[in-house]
Amino acid sequence: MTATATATARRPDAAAAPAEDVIEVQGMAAGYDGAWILEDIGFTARRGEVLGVLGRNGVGKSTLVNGLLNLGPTVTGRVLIKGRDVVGWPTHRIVRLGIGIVPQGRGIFGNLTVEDNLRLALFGARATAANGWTLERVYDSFAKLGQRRHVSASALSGGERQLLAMSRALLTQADILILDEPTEGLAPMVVEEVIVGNIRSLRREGVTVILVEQNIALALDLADQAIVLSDGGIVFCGSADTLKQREDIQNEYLGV
Amino acid sequence: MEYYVIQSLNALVFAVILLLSGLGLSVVMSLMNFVNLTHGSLYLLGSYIAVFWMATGQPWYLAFPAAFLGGAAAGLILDRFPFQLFYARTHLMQVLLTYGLSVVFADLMRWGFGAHIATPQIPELLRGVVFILDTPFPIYRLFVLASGVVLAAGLWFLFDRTIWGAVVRACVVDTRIVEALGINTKHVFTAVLALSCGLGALSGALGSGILAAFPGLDEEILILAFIVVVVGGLGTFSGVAVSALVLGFTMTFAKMLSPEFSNLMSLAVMAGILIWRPDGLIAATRREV
Repeated sequence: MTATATATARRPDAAAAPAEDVIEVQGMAAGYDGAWILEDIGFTARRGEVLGVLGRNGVGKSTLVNGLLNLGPTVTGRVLIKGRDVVGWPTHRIVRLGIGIVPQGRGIFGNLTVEDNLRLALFGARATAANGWTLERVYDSFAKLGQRRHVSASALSGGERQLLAMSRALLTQADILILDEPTEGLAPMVVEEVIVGNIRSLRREGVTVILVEQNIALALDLADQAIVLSDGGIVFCGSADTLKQREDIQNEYLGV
Repeated sequence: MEYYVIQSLNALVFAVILLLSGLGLSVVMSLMNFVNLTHGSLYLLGSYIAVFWMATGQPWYLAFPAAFLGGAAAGLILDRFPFQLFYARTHLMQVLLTYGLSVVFADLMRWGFGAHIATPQIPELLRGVVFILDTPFPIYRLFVLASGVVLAAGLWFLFDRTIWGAVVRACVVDTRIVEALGINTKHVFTAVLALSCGLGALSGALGSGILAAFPGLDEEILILAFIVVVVGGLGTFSGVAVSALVLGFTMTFAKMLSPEFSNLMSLAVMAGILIWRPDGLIAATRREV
């Protein structure tokens, strides 16, 4: 159930290349209807890293990642994606820079077949560089989706929906992937199979992953870097290993 | 017996015109949540285009693509200004805008095309009658019936079987998610509005050989198209088709039974259906994300 091994060889220089900042956020504020939920946000994500975005419920994690793509919230400040300041851009143009999202709730179209859900992403794909993901590769990697390609997407299980949403985001030819609470509503076994395995193999491929999670243990296990949100700002920004040691921060801001 | 067969054919022909004009209205309402009261004006514009085209002596069959393109071009212009400013506003504002525009368009057309009843010069090929069960039936109506069926099948294919149709159906559910897949939904809206306006004008061109073209027809068609959309259920292709058939048949047979009360009778049937099924004959049930 993980992405194929052939993918690993695709970008052999991933580990060796100097890690470039693919997302750079400076002085960002985001909110709805004139009320700021987040203020003075700054962080960077480097190519090929998994960045955990952590914090209690309702602290604005989704506002942050949706704000990166201009997917709802009002945003000010600077949001550089691959060096381009995208504040104010329409969502589809930002996505075409090679940044895909699996939104909270997954955003699967239940009135469409599995295959049509995937083909939407190919229809929209205009990223300058292809990331190697094709319909065939999705079906090879995730046999369940291949078997059910002509079935209505509403008939899929939670785990299959998550796979579909991740595949769909990859088919936009993204090499930055935002996952907004991917484990929500999934059984522990499915989480292990669908989320953990796939994030690891994507990381090996050099995909940058922004992982918004409630499940702190899982996020710290997968992430290289982490940011912790509280009271509308960032209260921790550093390596996941450091955060693992900082029980004080975990207790105060993550309610562990 | 012959009489009923002929009247049923008439009902089918009328249903086809209702279906084509209703589909255009339905897709804009369900996708863009936009109430377009200029749809009847586009129907009448299409009728006038057909009437004038066929009077010029150009190949008659090109009148239909000409009407479609004329309507679609009008749609492109209207989309740019002023419709785009109103897509996100309330239905009341949209009604005010488009109703006002429909009055303006009605006056413009009366000024441009005259207040008389204009009928197209139907080409030789379609002018005669065929005998169905020994009763004469105009060939032109059969032509409208056949074109309507072909067009409806083509539209069904477009919306149900192509990726373009999948994009539109996805936009009906959630445009933000569609944007997040790298698709410019503004362009989707523009294309759908142009298609809708083109369809309105095309149905007017087809209908002109039966209903002619005259001031006031725009409003009549608009109301009928609205009834078809609401009774059929928003956002369902089959709903619009079934409800066009029901309205086509009730109006035709009500006229037969009692010409004075025909409108009352057919509207009562449609009202009855709405009481029985408030969401329309076929409600979009799987409109989930």
